[in-house]
Parts: sequence; structure tokens; C-alpha cells
Amino acid sequence: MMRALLLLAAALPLCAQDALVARGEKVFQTSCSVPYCHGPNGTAGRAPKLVGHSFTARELSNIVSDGIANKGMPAFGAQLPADDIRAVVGYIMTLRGSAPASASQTVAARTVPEDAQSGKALFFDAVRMGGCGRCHELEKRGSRVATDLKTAAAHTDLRSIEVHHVMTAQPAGESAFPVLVAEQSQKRVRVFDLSSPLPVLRTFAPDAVKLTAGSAWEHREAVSGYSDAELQEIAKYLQWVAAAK
Amino acid sequence: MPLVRVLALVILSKLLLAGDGATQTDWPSYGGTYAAWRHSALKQINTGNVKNLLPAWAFQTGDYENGLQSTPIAVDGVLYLSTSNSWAFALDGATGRMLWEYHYAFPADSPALAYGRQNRGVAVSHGLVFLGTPDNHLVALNQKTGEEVWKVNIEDSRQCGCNTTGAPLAIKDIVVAGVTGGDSAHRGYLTALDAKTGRLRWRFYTIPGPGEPGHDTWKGDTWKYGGGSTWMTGSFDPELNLLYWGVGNASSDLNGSKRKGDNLYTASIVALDPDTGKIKWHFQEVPNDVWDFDATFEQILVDLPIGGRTRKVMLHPTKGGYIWMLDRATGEFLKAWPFAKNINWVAGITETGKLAGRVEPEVGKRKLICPSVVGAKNWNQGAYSPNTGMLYLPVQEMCNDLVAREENVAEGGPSTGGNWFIKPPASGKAEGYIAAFDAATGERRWSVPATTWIMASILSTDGGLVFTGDPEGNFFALDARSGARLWSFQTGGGHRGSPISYSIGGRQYIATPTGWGSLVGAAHRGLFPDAPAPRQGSALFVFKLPEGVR
Repeated sequence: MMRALLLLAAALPLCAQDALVARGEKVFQTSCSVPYCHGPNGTAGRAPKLVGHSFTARELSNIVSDGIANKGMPAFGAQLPADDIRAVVGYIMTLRGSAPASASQTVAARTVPEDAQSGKALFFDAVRMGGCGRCHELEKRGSRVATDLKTAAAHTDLRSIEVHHVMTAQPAGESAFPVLVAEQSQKRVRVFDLSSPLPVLRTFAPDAVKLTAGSAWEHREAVSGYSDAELQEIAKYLQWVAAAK
Repeated sequence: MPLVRVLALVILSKLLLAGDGATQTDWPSYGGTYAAWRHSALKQINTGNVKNLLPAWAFQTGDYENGLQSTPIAVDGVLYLSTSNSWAFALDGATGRMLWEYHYAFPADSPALAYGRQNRGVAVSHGLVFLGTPDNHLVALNQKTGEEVWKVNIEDSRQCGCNTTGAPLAIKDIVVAGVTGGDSAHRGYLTALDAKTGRLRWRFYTIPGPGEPGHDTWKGDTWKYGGGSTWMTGSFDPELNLLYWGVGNASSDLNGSKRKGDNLYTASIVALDPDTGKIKWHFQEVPNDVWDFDATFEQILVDLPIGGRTRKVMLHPTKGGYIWMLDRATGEFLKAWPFAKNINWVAGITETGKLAGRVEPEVGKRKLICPSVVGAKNWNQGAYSPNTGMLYLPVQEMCNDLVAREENVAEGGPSTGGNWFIKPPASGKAEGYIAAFDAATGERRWSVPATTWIMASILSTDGGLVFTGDPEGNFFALDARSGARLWSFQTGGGHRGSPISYSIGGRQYIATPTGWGSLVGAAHRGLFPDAPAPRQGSALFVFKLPEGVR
């Protein structure tokens, strides 16, 4: 009997823990997973994925209560009862993983110096449909269509950059257009069509398109949406990129 | 020209001019036809024989991310189906045999993507299948082989905090893609690409830039980050040559203090010239939106008797619990009526289409607002039947506490301006149901309660039937006139997709996606704690009548 009672006593906290987690899961589903935040069961929506996280309960409790300023995480301390916060922390702890935080989470991005910041904004200018970033990727932004600027020499005159590698594609039944070749194999030919403001990666059977070296296309067409002063700002950003590589 | 040919041409053009929005043997576009009725003219399966309906085949996609939210497209006996990770399949509509499959290749360093991975369907035209991706690309596949023909990065998803989850719309010689990002610091747009080459035809920004009409409805730089996503699929009237698209909420979602003004064209319907992308008219339903009340859901194009004459109208059910009726030629407001019971964000809508008695969120204070951010209706689509003249909608009664917040936003970052606490209405119980309304008058004809709620789209047919599915896994048929339940089948997965009908060789099929998922679907257990969790999965179930049954 005594033994049974002891077992029962040992089991109680576990039951209480289960109830806490169940309550926390409900709080999570009505307040954290919808509509665009941590997603179903913490698998991520708009906000960070919580499955496999490495926070301690104390860290979580602080974040849930106080929020994270300017990152979209509300301070729930003023909005939820303390019991609900304890419960939701208990639930989120069940999503914890054993893996350490990934490198991308722990290594801070290099800070762009002040005199290169406006150039960077212009380089990726959303108002210009992504600007230079429509073709070039830098600092994990933009598209990998054209030259990798991390390894290229920095240019000062962005209009007159030589583009020997731009070729001319002539598919059957279509007008010729300027391209960058992405893949040329026995199976297929893939080219980026540069005649569209948003480059198009097109795939052809090898015999369906004729490629010839050279093109009338010039880099000044790609940067025609920028003023001289803006191009100088962009050049400053690219100089910083080249120096920092 | 022989008389017969002339007559045939006259009849054909009459059919097109009549704006008949019902599908026939195919299901060619996201909403069935460009008119988005989600109504099939097929009637082999009808109220008398539906009790005999049996599975013909099922197809497991193998992609269990976020359930199967798609609308299959049926063309010439082949179904084109897409899944959340942007896999696409071509299936023999009679047997389920897979003809080809395509798995979109994400970059190796693909980061966590805004709004998760979801996909609601493909478009088919010009021998191509068009597919949006969670990292904001639009891909064209060879309709016969599934091989990639072209691919365009619409905008870097890492920068914009946006992606493509809706089905593209293929009209004329272009394909039009919408974009998410309404809860990010992002400026929304529609992108039209040449169907054959993928080249940009036009870009329409839902927020006017400097110098454009409407730009002055934004303060300072807020226009650059004001939301206005286009995440669902639009409609098209070929006769008027107008492309319609619903524009999402303004951002920061719950806090409009920095963007005082109407914030055009957020929470609006826009009508565009599809050849140029130029705006022809707009109607804003929610000026200075602070409730996250998108206007992105289906625009149903019907010709209805209004005030003694037939008018070309658009019916537009919204998150806020109202159906808006507009003249689709001019954008003139005709009327609006509530389709849900729990509505308190406004006291009503005036006879000229203005919001009256706004109840707005406040900074740092929880305030009960109904409907919730999930909407009195979510993106899952309603149907219109020309036979009954009724509009069938999935409706839910639920609310949320809203708390606004001051925040500084960074391009592409979260920009919600507050947060949500989903909760039941004052009755204490969240509920969902299917409701039928007279499309011309708004009178409620019947409603059928769900066990929990209905988060799948609705299909109606000339067989006098209405089909949909529930989170508990049941796919079922109702009598379109009375709502009486006539047939049901347990598919084993919750329903969050859109059923269709098509026919092959004179035999009618009904197809439904099954498998629970989606961001909103995650709220299920919080709202219905006593109900079992909906089963995930990703399968297409297809039904037909047994041989010999008429």
C-alpha cells in the first residue's frame, strides 16, 4: 500500500506536467502559431521555427514575457495571465532539440559601413524590381544569374563593364536574344534570357537552340534605371564588398 | 460562308458572351472557369444516385508538408495537381496512373521561407503548366512531359519576405502571378509574364508610387512597406477584357497610425487591362485597414437581375463577414450584406458602400474583434449555382482579441503591428457551417452545421449537388436546394483543398484533395480542444458511379 502511494506521489508531478503542456499547446495554437507566426506545432510560418530550438526555459520565459523589440515578437507579459505563460513555455520546451544553434544564427553578419549603405539599398532597390539584385547575388540577397561579384574586381564605371560572356541564342521560330549560358550538356541547354527585366531561365533541347558567341547587349542597358550619382553610390558598396572578401 | 457555319459561330459567340461560368468536361482554371463559379454543368451524378458514389482511384503525392491545399486542373482527361513543396503531377483522370511528376529544386541554402511552404494549384495553357514556388519563382513545365521550360525569380524571397502560394491565372497569352507579403514590410504587386517565353509583360504595384494617383493616401515612406499582397487568384471577364484581382490588407496590419489615409489599393478590388497592366477601376472595401481584412478571396462573376435589370456583377465574400456586390464593368458599389452572425469590427456598411462605426485595435490593450483574423470565411472558396441562383459559402463564427503595438519595421521583416488571440465568440463556442444565400438578394436559404468548421472549398454541380469536406476527413454531398446530406465518404485526412468535377468518355468524376495543413489550420486544436486533431496527409480521392447506375 505504502509502495503504491509512493508510486502515485511520484506520478503526480508528471500528470501535472502533462496538463501544463496540454494547456500550453492550446495557448500556443491560439496565440503563437496563427496566423503568420510560429506555424503549426512550431514548424514556422513567418516567425522563427521553434521545433529543435535550443532555448532554456528561463530564456523562453523572458522572451515570451518581454518580447523582442522591433523583431515582431510581442511582449505577452502584459497580455496573457502568468499561468498561460508558464504553460506555453512548458509546451515550447517539448519542442526543444539537442542540436546547437546553426552557424547562421550565431555568426553576426558583417556590418556595411555607412558610406556603402545607400549603395547597397540602391543595389537591391525593390522599387526598381530588385535593381542590380535581379542578376547579381551578394550577402545572400539577389539572384545568381550573372557574375559573382564577391570574386570579381570592383568596377567604378558600371555602365561600361565588358560582357564578353553574354551570347546570342536563336531558338527555332523565335527572334534571337542575349543570354548567359547556365548549362550546356548533351541533355539540355539552359540560358538566362537577358531581354526581360526579370531574367528568364529557359531550357531547350540541344538541337532546338543555336548559341553564338557575342551579343549586342551592353551592361549599360541593365543599369539604365540608375542616375550617375546613384551608380557612384553603388560602386562604393561594391568596393567595400571587394575589399572585405 | 455556309449558313450552318454562320449559325455555329453565332451560337459559339453567344455561349461565350453569355458569360456562362460553369465548367463542362474539363476544369480548366483555378475557379473552374475565369468567372470563378466553382460550378460544373455535369449532371450524371445527381441527387437521385449520389448515394451510390464510389471511389474510382486515389493518388498519394508523398508531400506531407502543410496538407494538400490545391485545386486540380483537368484538361482533356488529364489532371494537373500541385503540392506544398511545389511538386507537380500529371495523372490520368480515369485511372490515376501517373504520367509525369516534377519536384521543384530549392537552392541548397534555401532559408526558412516566409509564410511557410504552401501551394494552391497550377494553371494550364499554351501546352504549359504554370507553378508558383515558396521561394517566389514562377515555373513553366511542358504539359506533356513535366520538364521545365522556363523559370523566373519574381523577387528574392529572402529580401521581400514574400512568396507565391496561390495558383497563377493563365489568360490570353500571359500568365499572371500574385504574391504574399501582406504581413511583411513589403509593397505588393501582380506580375504578368509572356506565357511562352516567361518574359515580363507588366508589373502592377498594388500601392501607387510617387506621382501616381493614390500615392497621397500613404504617409512618408509607408507606401514602400504597406502590404497589399495578392496571394489568391483573380478572375477575368473576356468580354469586358478586364482582369480582376483582390488586394490584401494594409501593413503594419493592426496599427494604422503611421499610414494615416485610405492606403490605396489595399483591401480593394482592382480591375486591370490585361494587355497593359493599367488600372481601369478600383473599389476599396476597407480604407485604412487595421484588422488584417484582406480582400483577396474569390471574385465570382455573374449576371443577375438587380433593380429590375440584368447587371454584370461581381460577388466578393471577405474575411470581415460581408459579401460585396459590385458592377464589374464600372466598379460601382451595388450592395453589401453580412453572411456571418458575429460581426463587431463595424456597425454596418452604408448604402454607398462606406464602413460605419469602426471598432479599431488599440496599442497595449486587448480588444475583442469579430470575425477573427481567420475571417468569417477563409481563402477556401465558395460556389455559385446558376440553377438554384444560390451562393454556397464555408462560414465560421469566431473572434479574436487584438492588441496593437508600435514597431519599427525593416524591409521584408515582420510587420504585423500587433498580435492576435483567437477565441470563440460570446456564445463560448466556435462554430463552422455551410450556408446558402440567394445571390441576388443575400437572403439566407439554409445552413448546415459542421462538426467543427469547414476549411475546404465548395463545388456545386448541375446534378443539384454541393460537395465539400471537413477536418474530420469526411467528403460529402448536400442537396443544393435544401442542404440535406445525401452521401459521405471518409478519406482519412482532414480537408483543406478544393474539389472539382470533370468527365472522360461520357463518365463524370468528382475529385477532392485530402490532407490537413496550412497556417490557419494550426488553430484547430486551440479552437476545438475537445475534437480530435485533423489528420494530415496528401492524397487525391476520385469518385464515380458504379457501372450501370444512372
